[in-house]
Amino acid sequence: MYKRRNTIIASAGLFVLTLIVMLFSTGVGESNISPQTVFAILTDFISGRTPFWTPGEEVIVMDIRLPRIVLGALIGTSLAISGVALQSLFRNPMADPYILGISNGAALGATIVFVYGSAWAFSFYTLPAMAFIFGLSTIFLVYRVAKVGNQIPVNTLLLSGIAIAALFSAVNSFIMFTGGQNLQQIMFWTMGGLSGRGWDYVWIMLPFTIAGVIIMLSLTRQLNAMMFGEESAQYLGIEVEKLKKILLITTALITSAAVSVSGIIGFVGLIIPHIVRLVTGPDHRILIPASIFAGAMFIVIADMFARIIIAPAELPLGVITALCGAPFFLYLLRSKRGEL
Amino acid sequence: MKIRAKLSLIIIILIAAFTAGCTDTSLQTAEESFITITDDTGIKVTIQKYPQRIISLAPSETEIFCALNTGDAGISLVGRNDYDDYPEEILSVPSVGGPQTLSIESIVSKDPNLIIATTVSDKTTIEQLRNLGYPVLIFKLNTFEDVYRNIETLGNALGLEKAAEDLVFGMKADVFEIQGMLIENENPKVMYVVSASPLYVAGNNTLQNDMIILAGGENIFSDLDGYFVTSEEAIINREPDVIILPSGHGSMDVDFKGQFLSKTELNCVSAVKNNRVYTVDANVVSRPGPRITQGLELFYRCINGETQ
Amino acid sequence: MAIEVKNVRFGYSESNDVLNDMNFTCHDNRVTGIIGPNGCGKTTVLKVIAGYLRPKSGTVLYNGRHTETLNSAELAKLRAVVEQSVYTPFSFPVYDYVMLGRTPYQKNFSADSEEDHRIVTESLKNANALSFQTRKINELSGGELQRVMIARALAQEPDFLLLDEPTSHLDIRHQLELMKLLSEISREKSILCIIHEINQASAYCDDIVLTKGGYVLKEGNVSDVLKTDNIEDVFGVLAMQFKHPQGGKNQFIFSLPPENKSEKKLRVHVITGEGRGRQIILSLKSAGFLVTAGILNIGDQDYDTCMSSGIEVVSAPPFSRYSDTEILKLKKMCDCADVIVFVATNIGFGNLANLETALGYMNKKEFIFVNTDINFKKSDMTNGRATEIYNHMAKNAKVVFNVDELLSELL
Repeated sequence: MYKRRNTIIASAGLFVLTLIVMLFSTGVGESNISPQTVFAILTDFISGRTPFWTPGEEVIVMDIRLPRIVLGALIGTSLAISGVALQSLFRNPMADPYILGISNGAALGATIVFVYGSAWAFSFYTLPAMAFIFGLSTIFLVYRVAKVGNQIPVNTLLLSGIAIAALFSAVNSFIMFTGGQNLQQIMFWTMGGLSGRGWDYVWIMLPFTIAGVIIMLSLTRQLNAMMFGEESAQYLGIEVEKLKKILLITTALITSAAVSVSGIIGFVGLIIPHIVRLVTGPDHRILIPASIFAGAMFIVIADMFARIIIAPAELPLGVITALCGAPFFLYLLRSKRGEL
Repeated sequence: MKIRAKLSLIIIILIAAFTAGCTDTSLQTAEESFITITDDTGIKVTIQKYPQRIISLAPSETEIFCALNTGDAGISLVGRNDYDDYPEEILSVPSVGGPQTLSIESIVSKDPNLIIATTVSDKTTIEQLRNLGYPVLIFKLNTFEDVYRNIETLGNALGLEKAAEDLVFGMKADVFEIQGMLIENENPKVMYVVSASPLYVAGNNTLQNDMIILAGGENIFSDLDGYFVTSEEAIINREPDVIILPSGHGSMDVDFKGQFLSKTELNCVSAVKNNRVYTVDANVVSRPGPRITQGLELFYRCINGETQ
Repeated sequence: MAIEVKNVRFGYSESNDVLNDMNFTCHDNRVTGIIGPNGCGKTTVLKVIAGYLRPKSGTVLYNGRHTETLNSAELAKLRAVVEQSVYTPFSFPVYDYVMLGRTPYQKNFSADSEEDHRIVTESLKNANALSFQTRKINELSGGELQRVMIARALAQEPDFLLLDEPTSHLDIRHQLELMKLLSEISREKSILCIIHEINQASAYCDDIVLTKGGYVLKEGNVSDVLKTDNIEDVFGVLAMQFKHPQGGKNQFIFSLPPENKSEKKLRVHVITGEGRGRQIILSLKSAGFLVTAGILNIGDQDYDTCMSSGIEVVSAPPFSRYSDTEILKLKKMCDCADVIVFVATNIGFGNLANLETALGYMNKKEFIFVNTDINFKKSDMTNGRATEIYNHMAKNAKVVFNVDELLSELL
């Protein structure tokens, strides 16, 4: 049975835990900077103490590690809540943020930049901008194809998503194949990563994540009702078509934003909702807040491993998320069978 | 399979015998008209002695071939690949596709008697060419030594042993000369960036690693093999004195230096602070052909501050 | 307070209409049952009333208010819907599922109020679902799930409860419990309920809407609508009506009508009793014969069937020996008839006259003896007289053993 007090306590606990994980992760990296130094650098703006560390160390902590950790948390949160919302909307545990082809669209945008990018003034923002535009256009296209009158039948939506994703991925392969250059860059981007993402990216992502979190938290009851079907939700006084539009637009925006800054990080949007659901049950009033923090922690930890496993080289983040996520998910599935 | 291989061998022998019969007055025995060469993947390749129609599937092989085939041996390049751009004369030779988009039909239609490729070339196509009975030599090209070996092996295959010997000798002399030149500082820390986003760098066992060492520097990423993606943190942590970037790859004209320098967090790196980030011609420093000595010279100049 | 359905037309595609012109009213504090054959649009009309489907034309009014003018939340406070079944892959606690019924009253970000909790608990109690409130929704049995769905509907505090075949997945005990529950709820709320089972509708509904082919055939009080001829019209079955021993509501037994019809309008007189001839009488009638029956004691099951189906009968008071007047009437009827059918029954001195009269007509008219599975000796309460006649009949008359044989003999 749902108790609001428990949710608040759990959320507060998870929030603190997330901060601890982020703090710990800030202390880990290729260069050996002692925890005291890291802590001193982080609290410098409050304590105002004279630096006993090198400028390089300060740059590493403040401008390299911290932004990518914050960005990782934002992306983890965004993907996790998108996954939760779409699983409820489609009443399908297999749904994830990329189910309607955002990833394929964004990948096409990115490939175009990688292959033909030299023709334009290639700034760092060209890539995220193109990925974002293409990801969002994909959803828009899928939506337009699936729309019947004023309604969007969920099955048509899924099918048109699959078809358009296939089309975009074919175009993508065509460009990669004929363009023939920077295949490695494209591949690395496709597997997702936070390498080299500075504060600029955090500022891009932050408004999307905040808006997404607020919207999803406000819709927890509606999401609960949607689990029992659209008709049932309608009978409970929910404007189902309106809700579907809100959910689609919100998830499309935050997922496109996440993909545009970090590439395609797989598995997070699929398994975080499930893992959290196995612990909290399917009630969105606790599922959403718990997923917000679980998603953030998952990416921060995964990125930490991506940074240190084969340092100084970096692994693509998507490899780690799948590598840690899939076996853990399988374990949960076996040990708590049938309790999705 | 075995039968087919034998069959194709017999056919080749017959053809060889026939053509040989046309040019020479005396018939040669099969044993004398073939040589066996072991390529860098360990495969023994039997080729006609000596092949006249060559196809190159990699720009580096094209350059090596052209550097060897200076005389009037009657050997010609009948097919090249999309990325070839040096020397310019070979642009008139028809292309058979890019490294991953090779057209087996256009290769076969050129009727080559030797195909040269590298470990990067499309393996499926090469496998198919071998099954069809075409001799393909594959070269592994990671270091200077690899390039020397490549030149010598190709020289043997083409019957241009002397030209190969001369070429390698000249290159080694160039290297020796650069090694003997003055060095500004002892072992400056150097890194070679392949691409700025993601941050691809050259590690140990790469051509650029060799160039850095031969030019008197120390590669800060020599603790890992090959090319890999690294982080800004690692660069700051390893404090390079000199950073070298290519001027784009192939036909691409990308401002890697601009991209790299736009990472403001790297401003604390001494190479950036001291304005020692250099751009070099990508084809010269990353194509493992006869021009690597020029590439080495470019590296020497970067490392010793003799360029802007 | 009422739901009025006026000239509602609806179809899932442009060309094909499921509902052609539906008109009926669901009155206050009554259980209104919608009855009709498969595919006649019962569920569809319920979804239109519930506001899930929009009619092509026509209106649905709740207490005089047009559904189009109500938003989803307002509508959800007026009516609650219990669907045929609920499916979810997620294991949701029962209590929280019922709490969903409070959604139209709650604001985003707000917590469940004390009142919400009180109403949920009360709804669970009223729906007899309190005992499994801590279980998971996907672990419940069909009967439990149905009650939980009703509890959620009650938590919406609606004026109207719309149910779609709530008993269809339940065993007989749960069916009866559920119908009883609905009757109790109807003291405070109006209920509109699609029902499959005609006898349950007859037992528990106050009003009935009888639909067929997208139209309403009959609507009104249950005893006025649920009659044998209406049922035969709508469902195409033979219905035998009798009173429920408890409460005296009309109940029905159904059988398939004969496949062939008689061309000649033959007159058939059936001598029977004890309910043994009910099906024979109805089948003959439906096959196009002109049927008369008797002598039957008033209150005999065959007598009730004849009365509810409008068949002319020679009757006698219950538990009495047939009088000469009645026997005379019987003979008159037999004289008029082309065929006499005698159905074997228990024979005592009271109804011996039936047997003896029949014997008299054995050679005069076409005579058919329907030998039901009775033992002549045991059924004889006339010291051997009946057995004697029975044996004679069994030997000399045309004998059949069931309705189908009788019909094929006559057609």
